[in-house]
Amino acid sequence: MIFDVLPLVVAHIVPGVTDFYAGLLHPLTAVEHVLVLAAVGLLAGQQARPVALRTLLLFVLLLAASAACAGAIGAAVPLDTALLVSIVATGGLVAARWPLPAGVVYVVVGLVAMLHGVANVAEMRPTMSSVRFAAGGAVAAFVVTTYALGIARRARAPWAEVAVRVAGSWIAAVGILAWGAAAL
Amino acid sequence: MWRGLRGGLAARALALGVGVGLFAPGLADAHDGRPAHLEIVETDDGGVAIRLSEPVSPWVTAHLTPWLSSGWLDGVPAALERGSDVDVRHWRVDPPREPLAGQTLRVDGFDPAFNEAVLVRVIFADGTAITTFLTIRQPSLRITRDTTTAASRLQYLWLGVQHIAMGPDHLLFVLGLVLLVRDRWRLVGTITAFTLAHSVTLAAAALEVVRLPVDAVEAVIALSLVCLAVELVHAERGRCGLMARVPWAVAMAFGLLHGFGFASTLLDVGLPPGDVPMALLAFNVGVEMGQVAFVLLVLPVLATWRELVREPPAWARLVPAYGIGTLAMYWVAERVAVAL
Repeated sequence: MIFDVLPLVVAHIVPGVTDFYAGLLHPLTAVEHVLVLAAVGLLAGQQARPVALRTLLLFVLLLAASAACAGAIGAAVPLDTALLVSIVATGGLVAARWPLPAGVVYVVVGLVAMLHGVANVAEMRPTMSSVRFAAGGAVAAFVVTTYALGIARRARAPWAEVAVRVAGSWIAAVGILAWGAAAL
Repeated sequence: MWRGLRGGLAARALALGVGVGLFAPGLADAHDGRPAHLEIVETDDGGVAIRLSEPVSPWVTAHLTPWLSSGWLDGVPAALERGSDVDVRHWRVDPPREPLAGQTLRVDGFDPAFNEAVLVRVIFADGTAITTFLTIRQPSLRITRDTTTAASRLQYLWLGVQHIAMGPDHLLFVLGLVLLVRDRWRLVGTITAFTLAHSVTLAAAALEVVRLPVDAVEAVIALSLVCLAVELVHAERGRCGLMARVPWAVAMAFGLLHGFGFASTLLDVGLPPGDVPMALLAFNVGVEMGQVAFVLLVLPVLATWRELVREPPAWARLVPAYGIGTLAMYWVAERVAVAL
């Protein structure tokens, strides 16, 4: 469906760019992806600067790599429940704001990145280049996650830190509601 | 010196890897995103001339089938021109028993695997015209004369936004300017100069005051990106080139060039007779809206990134420049090949 959001009306378009844009738009037009990207950004922003940077890079690179690999081997796995769990987990971690060791943050974010990378590919058409689709998804992930990360890092006032945690709790709540609705 | 050399090599290798990975598979692309064009014209002698121009390639043959409720398109085309990259079918209705207005036009055969579009242009004998797009989601339309001017202007505005959004070469140029010009007010001046310049040539080319070959213009636009990438490398190495010293002047010069690129879309779509200035303005405003939205999107990302990476290694600072340069050189080669 997302491919119809931006019909090709440009005559002198750069060849191959449509696969990139399809990959770019997919995470931005699917709530389950946007919420996780925002939650990962907020989670990274709650960490110390070097950990935040490594978390961001790890997330984007693993997401791109897993999408490209899954696309290349044609893996299209239904991961709806796992995606909902990842929303609850990442949103919950932001809300809890436990002083997690950096290694735990990397493992959680890495697993979420791989999960969403593979899930992205399920929406890719077989005729598309998985590399360009994955690159588009990585750019979208980088932009949204960086936005959320920037917001969390600037939230230094006590009320702002609470607001970030509230945002995390809302993300987790949406995940729980969607999970419940899917189970019914 | 060795550190700097290794840094430059690492940045080049990384940029080359990304560039090749992204675009090498695209060499055998079947669909390049060009829309088909369907033109229905009421001629002065009371007849109707219909022309469908459909992009083809070694991998894709013409597969779209237009249909009119009057049945004018049910027969075989009066003429068929086969080109290396486009097939053109002509129909001639002479004289029509039914009026064109009020008929339903439909296009069948959209490939669901691709986001295909047909640009439809209907020109009535009195000069009024309709321009719209048919896609797999909206494959038909009722031909009517009463399209409002406001709706038409909105279409041109949206077309401008889409053109800049779907033009990675234009967006990369703007990104390059944002990376090169760190001072906020200098950036505003540079982007304004770029805007003013491309508005001038966009108008001149769309009104056909100036005519340049589209393929050559596209190749030179890619070359302008290469120049910008070189300036970015120089700036990162502490050498101030012309672009870093007077960015607004260089942006203006390259803006003149990019305006011709923007105009190529308008030349394909055409401007509505009787509302040319406003449609042109709407398209230009659309381009500006897209450009400003892109800058506003990029600036917070850059601010966060620079806060996170306060002292980036030398090689990392060169990656954006080499990335832009690699893509731009690929496009130069590709577009020169097309132009030749």
